[in-house]
Amino acid sequence: MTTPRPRAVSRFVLVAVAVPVVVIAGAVLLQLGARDALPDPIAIHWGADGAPDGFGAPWVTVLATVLVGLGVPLLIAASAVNGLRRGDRGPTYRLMGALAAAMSAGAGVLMTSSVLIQRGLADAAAGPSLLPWLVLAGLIAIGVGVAGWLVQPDERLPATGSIATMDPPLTDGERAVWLRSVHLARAGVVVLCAAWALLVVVAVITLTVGAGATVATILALLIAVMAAVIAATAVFHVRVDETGLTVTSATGFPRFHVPVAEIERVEVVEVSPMGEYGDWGLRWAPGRGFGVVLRAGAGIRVHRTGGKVFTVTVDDAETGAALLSAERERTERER
Amino acid sequence: MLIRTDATSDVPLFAQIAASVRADAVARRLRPGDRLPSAREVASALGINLHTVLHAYQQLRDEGLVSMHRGRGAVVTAAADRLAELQPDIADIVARARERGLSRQALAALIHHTSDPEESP
Repeated sequence: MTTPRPRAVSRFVLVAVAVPVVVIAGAVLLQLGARDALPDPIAIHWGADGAPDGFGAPWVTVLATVLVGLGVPLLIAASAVNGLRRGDRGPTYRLMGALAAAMSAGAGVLMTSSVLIQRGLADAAAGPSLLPWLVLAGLIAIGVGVAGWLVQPDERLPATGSIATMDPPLTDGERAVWLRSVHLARAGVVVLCAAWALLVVVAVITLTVGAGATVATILALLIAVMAAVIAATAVFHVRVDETGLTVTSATGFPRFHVPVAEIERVEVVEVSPMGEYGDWGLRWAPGRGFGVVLRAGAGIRVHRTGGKVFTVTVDDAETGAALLSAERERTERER
Repeated sequence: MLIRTDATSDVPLFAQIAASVRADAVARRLRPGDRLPSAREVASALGINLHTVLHAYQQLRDEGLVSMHRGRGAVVTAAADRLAELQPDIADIVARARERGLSRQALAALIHHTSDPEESP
């Protein structure tokens, strides 16, 4: 495997960290510089017709600019930079970098122009429409995003796998089974549980504020479904025997089976959930096929007849892949 | 973990399963705290009787390699790490035997015929 060049990391930091910091620093300076010429309160929200319909103190916009234009891009950058530093690569990282830059440029332009167009007004309610600035901010965000994408190099990890063989080899009279469990990586658990907790908090707030029985039922169902999805993806049992490869959730569902007769090639691969599949869990990615990717590291990749690919990340993948290869060869010989 | 059985072998099936589990411990495919798969799952995958697998697990428990817990099944004990310490020696003796034209089976037979003063006849 070639060592990935560090250029992808420095370019990512430039696009996802340096650009937001500079853009938002400029935006905040412009907004603060205009504060003596502003009405009080200023308009902070505009209706669908472009006329102002929400008002607040000038610092509200400054705070929103920093949170949306800098805070969110930095969160995006923080979630990706560790993987990149480890040597992981892929278009997902490139997209996240471009998205961080685009978000900060869009938010910076929109919020700053919303303040600057109110200079010299006595009453913010009489202010001009924000719509043209919204369009401009959108165009600038797209432009910055595209530039951010192009500035970063297109590096991908080579999808090379190795072939594992059994030692001692499987004899004709033998029957063998390989069993292994795989748990969702801690990072994945944290992300999923945080998302679920957020949903619970939103539900509690919604119900406290006062919501109808329908809304309450939908929220309760959503919470239950999400908890079930998390439970179903937390632990999987992987099994290789003479029937093929079987991957079953600890909850019994979902279950994936690749019959030994449909296997063309078995590889041991190093899987990077973020770089290759964009996330943890049950994933599909173009060119990589379907995968049960619960953590980074070794996995079994099966190339099926017809070109389909199935991947499962699991410890000791080498032993499992070796047995699966041996079973495949034996089935082929018996035909 | 990998379990291999050969119905054409003279070694009883339960002993083959126990030997497979020991080999898993030596190869560090099984570590202390790992849970063995349920006897039912192993039996169905290998197409053998459930009691044969249970017999193997009981033997491993008698050796101290696993402990049986109600509700948790068979759990690998710290003895697995001590077994794994043999791995370099075993790899070494297999390599040296091969240099002298001895197969693994021939080496196993030699070990079988080696006297052990600690083991009473």
